Amino acid sequence: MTDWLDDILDQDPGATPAENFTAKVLDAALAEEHAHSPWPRRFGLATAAALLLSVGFWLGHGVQPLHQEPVLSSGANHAALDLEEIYQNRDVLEVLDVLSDEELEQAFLDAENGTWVLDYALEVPR
Amino acid sequence: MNKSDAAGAGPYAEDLGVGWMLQVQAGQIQAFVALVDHYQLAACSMLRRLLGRHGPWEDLAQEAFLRVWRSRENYRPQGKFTTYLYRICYHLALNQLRGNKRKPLCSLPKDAEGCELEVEAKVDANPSTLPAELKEWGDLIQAALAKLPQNQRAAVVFQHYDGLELQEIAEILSISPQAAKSLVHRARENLRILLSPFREAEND
Repeated sequence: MTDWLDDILDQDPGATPAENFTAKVLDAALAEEHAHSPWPRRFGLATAAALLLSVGFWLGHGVQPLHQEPVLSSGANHAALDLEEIYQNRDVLEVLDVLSDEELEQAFLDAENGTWVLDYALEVPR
Repeated sequence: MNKSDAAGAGPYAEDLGVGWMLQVQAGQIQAFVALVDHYQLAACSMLRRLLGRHGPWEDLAQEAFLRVWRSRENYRPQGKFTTYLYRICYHLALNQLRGNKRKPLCSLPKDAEGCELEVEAKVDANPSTLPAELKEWGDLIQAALAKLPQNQRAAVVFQHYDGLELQEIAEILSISPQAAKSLVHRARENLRILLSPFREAEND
């Protein structure tokens, strides 16, 4: 005598996988293989690096290096150095206080023409 | 299966899945296609019965075959291929159920063999708890299976639908054959309680 429970359980239809089930599994498996393969990855990295270098070179071409020192005439070079000393010399700075900010601004911006500030400072008796 | 594959299969040389798996190990992709074609229905059906009709049974079945693929280099035939595959499927289903915070109707204490104790008194095998609107046997069976603790559910699914022996069920569930026998017995008793009123109604 058969068990009625078995007859009832047999009426469960089970599952029906999608038609492309195998294809999806295979695609995923092969994609994992490709992702873990060393050569395509290195090739991709090398290509990306070369591209970045090329773009960087093209973007930077014709632009002056940021760290390049401005080219000054010999006179202006000396003036620049002397200006450093002025900043550190308090007596001279006190003299400079009588000058207007506008004049000072122009003097310090134009290194080549700004030596008159030093001349003026040195001529004032202490 | 050629001679070298048969040699690698050992006592499972006659197992179709073992043979294909050894060919996959040897790099034959078409053997993997044959494997998936042959076992997808069983894997999907088993996962559907464990997770329910609306669960992600197809996604997990695909993941199970992907894990088979990933493990091909380390594969060693230690049993039937179905035992190997179903063990993967069962653990994926367990993770899914735990992730959904689904628990058996009761958390039962277990003996040393992992067998639930006093299950008859605690499983809510009350037919009235099955949704009244279910008319089709397929839906009723799914609802009744869902009432069982997950290990009872798995045991009866493996035993009835997949025709596995108690030893195989025990290997998949990582329990003793005696514990597997007990689980199958209790699962069937609970299903009788849940489904008998509907059988009687059908006979009326």
